[in-house]
Amino acid sequence: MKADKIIIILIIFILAVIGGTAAWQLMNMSVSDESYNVTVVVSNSSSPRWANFKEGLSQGAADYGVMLNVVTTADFSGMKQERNIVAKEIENGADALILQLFSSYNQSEYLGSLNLDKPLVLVESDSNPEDVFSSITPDNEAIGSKLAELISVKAKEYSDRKLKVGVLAGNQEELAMYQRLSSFRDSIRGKNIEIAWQISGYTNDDIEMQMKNYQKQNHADCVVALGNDQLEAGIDYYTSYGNQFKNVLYGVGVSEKTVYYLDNGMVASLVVPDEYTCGYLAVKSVYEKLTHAQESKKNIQIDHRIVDRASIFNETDEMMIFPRTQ
Amino acid sequence: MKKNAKFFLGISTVIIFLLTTGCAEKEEQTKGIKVGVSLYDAHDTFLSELMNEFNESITEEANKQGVTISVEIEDSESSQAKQNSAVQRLIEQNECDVVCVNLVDRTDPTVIIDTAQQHDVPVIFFNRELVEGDLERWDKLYYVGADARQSGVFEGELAAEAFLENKEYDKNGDGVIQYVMLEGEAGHQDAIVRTETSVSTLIDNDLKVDKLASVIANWNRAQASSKMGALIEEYGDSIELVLANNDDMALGAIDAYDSAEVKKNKRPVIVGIDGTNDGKSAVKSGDMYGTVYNDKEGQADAMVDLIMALAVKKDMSGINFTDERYIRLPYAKIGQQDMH
Amino acid sequence: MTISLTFTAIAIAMIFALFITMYQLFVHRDQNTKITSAGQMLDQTALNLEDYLRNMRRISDAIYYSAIKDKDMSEDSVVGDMDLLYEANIDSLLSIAVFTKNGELLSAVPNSTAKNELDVRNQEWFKEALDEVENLHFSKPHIENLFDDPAYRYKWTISLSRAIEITRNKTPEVGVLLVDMNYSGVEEILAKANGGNSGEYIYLIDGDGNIIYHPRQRLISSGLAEENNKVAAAYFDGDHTEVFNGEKRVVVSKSVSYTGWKLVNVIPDSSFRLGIRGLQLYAILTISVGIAAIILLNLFLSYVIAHPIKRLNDSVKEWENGNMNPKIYVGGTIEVEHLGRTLSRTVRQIRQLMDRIVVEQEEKRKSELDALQSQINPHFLYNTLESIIWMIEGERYSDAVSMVSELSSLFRISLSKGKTIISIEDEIKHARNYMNIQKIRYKNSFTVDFDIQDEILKCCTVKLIVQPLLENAIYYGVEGMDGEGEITVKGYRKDDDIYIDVIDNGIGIPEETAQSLLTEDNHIHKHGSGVGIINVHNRIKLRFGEEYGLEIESEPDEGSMFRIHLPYIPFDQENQDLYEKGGRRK
Repeated sequence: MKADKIIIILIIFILAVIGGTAAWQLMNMSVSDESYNVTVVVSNSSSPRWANFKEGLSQGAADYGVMLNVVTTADFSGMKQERNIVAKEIENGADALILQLFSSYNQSEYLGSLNLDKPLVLVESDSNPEDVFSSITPDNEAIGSKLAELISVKAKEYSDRKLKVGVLAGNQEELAMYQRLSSFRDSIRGKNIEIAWQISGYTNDDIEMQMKNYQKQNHADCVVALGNDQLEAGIDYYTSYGNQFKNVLYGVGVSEKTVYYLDNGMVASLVVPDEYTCGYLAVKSVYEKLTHAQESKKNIQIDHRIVDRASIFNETDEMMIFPRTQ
Repeated sequence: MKKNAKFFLGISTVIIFLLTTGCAEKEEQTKGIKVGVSLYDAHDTFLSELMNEFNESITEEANKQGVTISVEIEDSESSQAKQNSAVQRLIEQNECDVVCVNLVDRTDPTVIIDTAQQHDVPVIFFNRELVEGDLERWDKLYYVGADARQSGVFEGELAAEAFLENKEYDKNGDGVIQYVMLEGEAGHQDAIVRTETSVSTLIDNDLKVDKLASVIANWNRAQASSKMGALIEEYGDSIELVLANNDDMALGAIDAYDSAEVKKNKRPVIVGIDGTNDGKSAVKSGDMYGTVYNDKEGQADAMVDLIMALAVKKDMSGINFTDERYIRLPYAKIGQQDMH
Repeated sequence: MTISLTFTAIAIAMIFALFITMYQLFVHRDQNTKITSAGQMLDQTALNLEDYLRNMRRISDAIYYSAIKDKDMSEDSVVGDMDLLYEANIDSLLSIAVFTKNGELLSAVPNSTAKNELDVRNQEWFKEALDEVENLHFSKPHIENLFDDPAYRYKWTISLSRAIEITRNKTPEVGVLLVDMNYSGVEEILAKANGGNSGEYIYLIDGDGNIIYHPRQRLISSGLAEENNKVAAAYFDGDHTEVFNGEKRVVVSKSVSYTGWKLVNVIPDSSFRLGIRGLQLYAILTISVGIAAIILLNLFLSYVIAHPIKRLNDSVKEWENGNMNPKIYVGGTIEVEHLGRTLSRTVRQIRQLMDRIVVEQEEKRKSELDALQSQINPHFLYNTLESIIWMIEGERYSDAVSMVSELSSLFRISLSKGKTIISIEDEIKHARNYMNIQKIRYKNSFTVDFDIQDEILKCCTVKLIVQPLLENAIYYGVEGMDGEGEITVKGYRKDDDIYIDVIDNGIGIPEETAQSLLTEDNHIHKHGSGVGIINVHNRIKLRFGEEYGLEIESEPDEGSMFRIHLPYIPFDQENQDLYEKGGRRK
């Protein structure tokens, strides 16, 4: 074959490739490309503590065009449960995962044993530099020490004796809760504060009962709850005696119930992590992993705010606590 | 030259072939079940308790069936327009397998039914019953709820029992029961039926009644409390019976008495419906005479069974329908004696 | 190739030009349409919003003028009327409340349980109402913070507040009427307008640029997204182009009457591009397919038209280069085929004509030469006859008789029944006759020797070829000589050739003359016999071919040799007839 014929064939081939690509994209445009399936597994998914988080997730899903699948779960009672769900979801075709780990002990080994080849973002947990997954979490240690600080202000009222505090510590296998507690304990050391009792465990069903028992044995002046569900349990405990208790609860909370009792005076101060941003950034991070885009950051720390009665309805806190959504 | 022409023809054929077959459909994946739930108002106590039961029941059932379930709950905040678009989003974008709808406006399910039918997604209506004609529009529409009439009858019976057994409740001793009715939403079927049957049951039990007032409090505790407060001011001690269409409003009435600081032995008989946790504890503490238990566990289980039958088993034979495609669960009376 | 290249280039250029123009046109129009429809959408939304807000003001008016104004709040309850209005507008209202100017709650629907320690005097709507008593005030969206709701219900609201006159204990005083609108009413109107997913969106700001509604307001509040709302607050109604966060975008703004609010529709540049992305792809597709089609079409055309013409051209070139019998290509389209056929017919005709001309020319020359061959020098006849006369007068009768018989033999052979081809035997005989006569004339001043091989005697020759050479030999070789002239005629065969040499020992011929004797154009002959020599040469060539003819060798003062070169052709009837007709041996 002559050289010019080869050139002509080459040109036509190139044109065919260009035309073919254009046609392909044209068709894909109308079909609207298959979106990514992102599975979210968190403990007790229907808990109001996830409400803002879910709002953030859906906004992220809308912005990045991913299909969210928030698996409905009860309180996890063990790693196996979570593991089963993750395995099933991957079988079902999940492209990426957003996980709240039941236990952070040996988390790298645990995640390694899951044999995940999907992008993974952890919420309320840290990731080490060598891990492939990233994490989004509030600054749990700061939350712990902040709570300690709030308590120590109250402790100053007690000059004759130490302030007795009950702690609702939640699932201590989870890194976030563990960090909050240890930081809280570290920060109250040397202050006029004594821990009367501490309740930890992964379910929140019987906290009220346990509290009643502990309070009978060693009555705490106030209660610190390290998580939203624990704070709600604390509220339930006090409300069962009526609405007369004021400034007896400190804790982390995001649900309307906790806000109501802050407004009402039972809760003295509320630490509100920006769960909405957490949800949004989780989706963003997963999307960046899925599309192999430049990742903005591996470990993201989200903000938290200390909200007290006076500041609930100021503009910035209002927006964080009550997301205005469509 | 001829060879070349054939060559080009071949290339173009291949390209056209590639283009036309490129968008062949992907194999359908077995996905976890997605359930969309649309609530008329997520702050409704009974509904939130029902949803707790539902979530518990469905996670348990999912474990048993070995599937993962994703329940998405949308709050319509009492706006039918919002509910319509939420259901459309659940069906069209989130590709739910089954949708459970707690209608805002029970007379206007058209958009929801049409959307569901278009995408062949079964709909389970619950708690707020739509008219029969609408349920007949498609064979994949179901209703799970209770018989409103029965709840009214039970409420009436509870109140009648109180007055028949204990004459002291007739505070002025005139043999006529002066009562106040706290009604749910205007035009709501349950409200109408409960209002009407509870009073007629009293009359059927040979009791004379005298309606002092009937106010609409939209199923809402705070509103009931406000309205009741006004009524207490107006009628004071002469109120002998408060019939509330639901527990929230009954609790609102108690709140009103609390804030009016009326002593407990001076308070009227207060009866509610639904048997919410707060309602039950009010019955237990004696603030409320009784309530009619709306079987939320039963309803939640019935909904979960239906969802599983529709989405997993694809077999409806295990479901006990009260009528065709209706599942109605009976109410139960809860009085003080039941709480101990 | 050039034609198809040009054609392709022009076609491609035209496709590009066409598409670029169309594309620009479309993009421009698309952009305009988008902006126009955004404006329309904005107008519609503004209309809906104004409607909604007007309705809210009507409610406020109705409560104030029909329920509150004429009543003494300390005696009459306004709750019934307020309740009626609330129930009628339950979807768009959260609550209606009346406060004194000190912030005391007078009455409220549907929930009248104020929060503990509620102090509305710090709330914005309250301050605004009292600051500017003649107007109704729409607040920024905020969470309603008035009533205690044990269902933990916190609702976003836009407060519509106004200063009113209330009468208590017959004393009029200033109060504040609050109508808390359900924020979702505004939200619904705007969410509906924000339904599309093309990147366009509408947001709502108040006069100071504070966001009232934005599809991504939560993200904006937490710093995950940004909006140009503060700048947009200063825009007049209409469309503006702005660059925000590095992206060019068109914003259309529209004021909402009475409130000072502003609706802003943002059309990012990318949304224009999104709309025309399909067009771009389509253009690329069409252009590439078009170019490919043109190239293929050209290949086809060149195969069908240009290629046959090229082959035809090649045939013509071959013809030009001297091949008188080219193979003319016939094929291709009908026109080209016709051209080829005509050309090939023409070539054939020309060739036939040329052949005919050649034949005719030869015929003509042959007849000319044939006429020449019989031209015996008249001097010879005259001299011979004079010699005979002289012999008879000298009574040498026998000599005269021999002379006459020689002459008659000479003429008989000369005539040879009109034939041109005779045997060598006859030719030699003719030569002898001639020489015998000449010897008598020249009184034996030379000798002649014939040495002819017997085998060539019965071979063909053109007649009267030796005699002119002999005549020439006599003139050149003998006449001017002092001594005795010797003329030798040798005939022999070498392979397929026959040679007859006529050799004399005369004065010779100068070299240049010897060569010019055989060239036609030389007619300068001193003795006039040159005609005879060239005549012999040509006649042999005409009959037997170019390779035959005469050769001349000459040495001055030594003598000359004329060699006749003939093919070996046995003399018989058949060969004689063949050559008589003049056909060359093929």
